[in-house]
Amino acid sequence: MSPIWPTDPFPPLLLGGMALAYLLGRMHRPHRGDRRELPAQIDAAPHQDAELLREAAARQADAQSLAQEVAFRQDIEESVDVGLLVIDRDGVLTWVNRAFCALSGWPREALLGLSAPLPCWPAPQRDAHATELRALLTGHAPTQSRVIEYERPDGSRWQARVQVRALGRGDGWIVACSDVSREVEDQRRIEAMNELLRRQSAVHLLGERAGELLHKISNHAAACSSACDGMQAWLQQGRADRLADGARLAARAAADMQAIVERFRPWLRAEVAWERLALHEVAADALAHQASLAAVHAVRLEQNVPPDLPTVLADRLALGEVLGNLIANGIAAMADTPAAQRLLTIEGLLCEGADAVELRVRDRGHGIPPGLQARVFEQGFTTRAGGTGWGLYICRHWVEELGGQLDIAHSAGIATDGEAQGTTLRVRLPLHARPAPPQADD
Amino acid sequence: MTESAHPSDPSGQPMVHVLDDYADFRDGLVYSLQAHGLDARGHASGEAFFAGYRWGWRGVITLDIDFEPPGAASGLQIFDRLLALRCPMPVIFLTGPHGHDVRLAVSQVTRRADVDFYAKQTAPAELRAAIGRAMAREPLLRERAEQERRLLQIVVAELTPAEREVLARVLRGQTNYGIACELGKEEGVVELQRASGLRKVLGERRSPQALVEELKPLIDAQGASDLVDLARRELRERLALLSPLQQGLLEAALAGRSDVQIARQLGWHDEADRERRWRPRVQEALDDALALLQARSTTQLRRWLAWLDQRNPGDQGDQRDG
Repeated sequence: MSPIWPTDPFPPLLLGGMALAYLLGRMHRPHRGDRRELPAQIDAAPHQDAELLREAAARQADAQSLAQEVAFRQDIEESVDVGLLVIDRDGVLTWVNRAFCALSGWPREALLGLSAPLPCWPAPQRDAHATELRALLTGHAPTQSRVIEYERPDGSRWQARVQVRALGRGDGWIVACSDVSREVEDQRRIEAMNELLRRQSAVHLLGERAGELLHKISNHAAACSSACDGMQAWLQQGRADRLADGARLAARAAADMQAIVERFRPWLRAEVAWERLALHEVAADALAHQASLAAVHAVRLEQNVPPDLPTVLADRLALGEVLGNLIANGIAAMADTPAAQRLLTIEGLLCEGADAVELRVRDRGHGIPPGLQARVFEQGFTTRAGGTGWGLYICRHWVEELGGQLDIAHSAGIATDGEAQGTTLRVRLPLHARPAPPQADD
Repeated sequence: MTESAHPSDPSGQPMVHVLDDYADFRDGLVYSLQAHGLDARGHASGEAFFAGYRWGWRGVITLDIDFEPPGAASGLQIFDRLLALRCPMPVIFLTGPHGHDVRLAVSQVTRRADVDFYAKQTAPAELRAAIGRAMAREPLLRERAEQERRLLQIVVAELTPAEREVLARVLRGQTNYGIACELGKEEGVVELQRASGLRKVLGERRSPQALVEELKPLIDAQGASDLVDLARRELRERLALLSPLQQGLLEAALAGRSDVQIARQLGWHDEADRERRWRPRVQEALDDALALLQARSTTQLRRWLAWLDQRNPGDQGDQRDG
């Protein structure tokens, strides 16, 4: 119920009209108390009464339409979902609409008549709000809407987009607040989805690999240019004997760059280049690629792939990349293993039934908890800080492309030597079945 | 570069130490520097560098900021270690193509010391010029560091605890009589301790004024409150340099264990080894650890630790007790 507008204006108006008529009657009698005019007055009385009644009826109609209008506005005001606050010239909250109460959770009675600080201001921002209100009261109303935070009685927060307008002739301000918490949340959700898309896109993967590529290549390129620079200097000094060293360095840097390009080629190629591979060679190459990493981490590398294993039909670069990835993972997993026990082995064996061969990459690291074994192959799953979670996912993808399987061997199947159980990853490649139509290479 | 990869004695001769995990880059830079008349030597990792590092090494260090194999000491960790060792060699950081690394490095490092940053793609001549400038700066830095180290060693190792107490009060301007009263000693004893302390620090030029000039800047630079505090801080810092292995080794040695026992404890002992190659290994490791502490012997170390313990009976030296 509004304190300003009585819901039913009729009875007061009627009373007022009757009082007015009475007063008018009183005024006529003493002042114009001329006996001669009395009959005329008496004659005119019913006429006057009728006029008064007409006037009263007209006012009553006005008041009624006004009341209707007010009720209409009030209905509108109560039905909008924009919170409205009215602040008077002294900074006192004189009106709060239903929407604001609903949004903020504060009952109207708790807010009306209050001045700063309002209970709906979150404590940390109370000063900022107060400053803003002061600026508003001194006539510095912000022209643009802003997002500010309010607090509910239960302590939760909501974001409101706030627009301030001067009320009437400057006897207050009306503050319109629309709830944008959901908008903010939606925005966040959209961004998260974009991020997911970005991470999943092959373009991003390429970008990440490209960064790595750039880093490696810039190192080798700088090495190359240093070597050439040195050769020039030796040449100027007439020391031809030192040129061989420089030429060797430059050639090595160039060869390394070439090797990097070769190593990264499978990432740019969609189809599999099938060829018959001797697994012990592939394993030896992969180990050689990771030798420097292993040296830094004091990890010993052992290869136990019998040269007489049957050859398999696979893609050399893809398989090499898979093994390299597994080796690097194994080395990283042994960071907490005592240096003397850091050993990474690659074993090769013929599976039962002789229809497939298996390569086992085994580390002596902390192992994978059983609960996570299913998840390590998931895209984006990583336990390493800074890891992308791509390694094993892509490894499995490649192995499956080659018609094989990549999984974690159960510890029962491997030899145990005390504490350092570690993890064994199995790459199983079929001997006969060819998953894809043969290429032109055989 | 093959001849410089294992120089007989790297100390004394100023050279460029190239710390980089990329063999190509390392060897290329070393080769190019040698061609321009600079002695240079490559180190594949921070671990490899510090395994050989001696205080006497001179020259400039170029340090790769992002060592590739995760897990090895990063460029910044290596730099921290150099600072902890008070290594006076100027450091030139080399960065890969990632702008991010450069920013990271700049923000973390520049506040602490004066270092240079160059991308690896920098033209060789420009990089050489920077190395040349750093080389020119090195003798002054070296001289300052040597001076500081000499003084600190006198304060820590040569002054007796009693002399330190007396000199700390001389620095404060107290008279022999006042010092004697405060420490509860005979004035004559204080007189003698003061004289011998001054001789150790100043040589023949003994005056309280010279003592203040010599030691006050050092005390201030190390953030110590007085001479005794300075000695305690310095000892603590030296003990903090020890690796866990070295700590274990020294503890065992202090406990009076024999070489064989220590070798067994560390798993270096090998019954089958008729030549007892573990013996020099233990000796060498012990010598290295003592050199890091700048202690002459385990006896001296034992004295230091006893003094530290007695200074703070409640405060167990966190580096020592394990």
